[in-house]
Amino acid sequence: MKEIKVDVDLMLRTALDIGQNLWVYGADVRRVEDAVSRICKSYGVAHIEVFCIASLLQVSVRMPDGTYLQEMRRLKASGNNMARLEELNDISRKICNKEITLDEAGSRIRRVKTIEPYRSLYYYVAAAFGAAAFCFFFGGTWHDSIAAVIAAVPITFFDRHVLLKADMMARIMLEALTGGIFVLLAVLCGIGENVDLISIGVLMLLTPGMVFGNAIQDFLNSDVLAGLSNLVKAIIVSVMIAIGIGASYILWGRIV
Amino acid sequence: MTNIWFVSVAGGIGAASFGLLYHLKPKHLPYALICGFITTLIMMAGTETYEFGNLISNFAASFCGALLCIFLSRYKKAPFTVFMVPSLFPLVPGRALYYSMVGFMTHDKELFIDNIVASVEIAFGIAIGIMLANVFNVFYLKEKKKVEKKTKN
Repeated sequence: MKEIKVDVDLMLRTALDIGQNLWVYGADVRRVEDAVSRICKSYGVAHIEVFCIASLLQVSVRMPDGTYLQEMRRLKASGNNMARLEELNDISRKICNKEITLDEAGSRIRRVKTIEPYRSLYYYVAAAFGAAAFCFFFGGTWHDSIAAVIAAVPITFFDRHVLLKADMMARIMLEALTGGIFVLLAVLCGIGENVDLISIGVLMLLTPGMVFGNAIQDFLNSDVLAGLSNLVKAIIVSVMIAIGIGASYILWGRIV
Repeated sequence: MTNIWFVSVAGGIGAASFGLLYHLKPKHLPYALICGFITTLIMMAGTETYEFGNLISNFAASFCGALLCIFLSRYKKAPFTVFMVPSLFPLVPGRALYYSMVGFMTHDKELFIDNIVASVEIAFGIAIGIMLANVFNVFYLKEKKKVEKKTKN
């Protein structure tokens, strides 16, 4: 009886570790709930309830022998790390197929944090290409794209080195401010022409991305809580960008 | 028409760049580029060539993109999200969000409302496209299971 209880505890902990990390690395609420549920079901739980919102993951399981466990995790800010997400998905699948034990899964989960598919330089190149491509995509000229590259590099530098420990919203605002100043600098130097199109290309690096779409998707799936939290997040990020870019224009107006 | 192709290539490069920024594994980057190109092409054809409007164009682009991502996720045995996030990134209403922010900052209500409505339209289009692609996927899996059961029996 004792042995079963320990297994249930370990199973639940592993499932929660995977769910929590999936959220941190960019999975949506449904995927987190699905992964946790599948892992627990593969260990023969009699009943399971998983509840996940933007800040909380709660799971309760009842085993066929009557053992009942409930645990929760506080979910903090999430980002996008597809390589780690893929690794976690692989671990989850292997647990469900009984290809690895829970102990092996635990050590693999701990190693997930160390996965880094690219060197730092690549992120600068990607940011530069991304900003330039989207500047062109939104109607900018080649010159505007070059100006977007100039503004994208300092944003990436701030993001990766300077503002690492800053609060997410403050970080986005400061990065938008930096981006705005560099866009205006580039235009003043005669590199680009259309301030708005260059700004749009550069700000794509900061936009909430799929969060807005995910929010609508959650609403359509009747998951109002998840949808609301995603929508609010998207709105606050947009407002922070607006404040950052607006501040850069105001600052520029005072200086020049 | 040439413009659409150039813009689609830019969308593909943008998608691959964001894939890298989102730490997508190197082996998946070409797929992000192709999916980004296709979704942008469909969206641009819808808005520019056929003038279907934001909702229909983005719905068609996200539906096709999501179906492609579902196929890739099965083929490469990776989560759907891994392909979907960078591939559908060119559909994100960057321009509309930017101008709504400008409207918000300059107290230009008309600019703000017009662009917020456009952003919501685009977001709805993307969300419905992904949802329907997922519904198709569920039907496909059910049918596949039925066929597998029949062949076993």
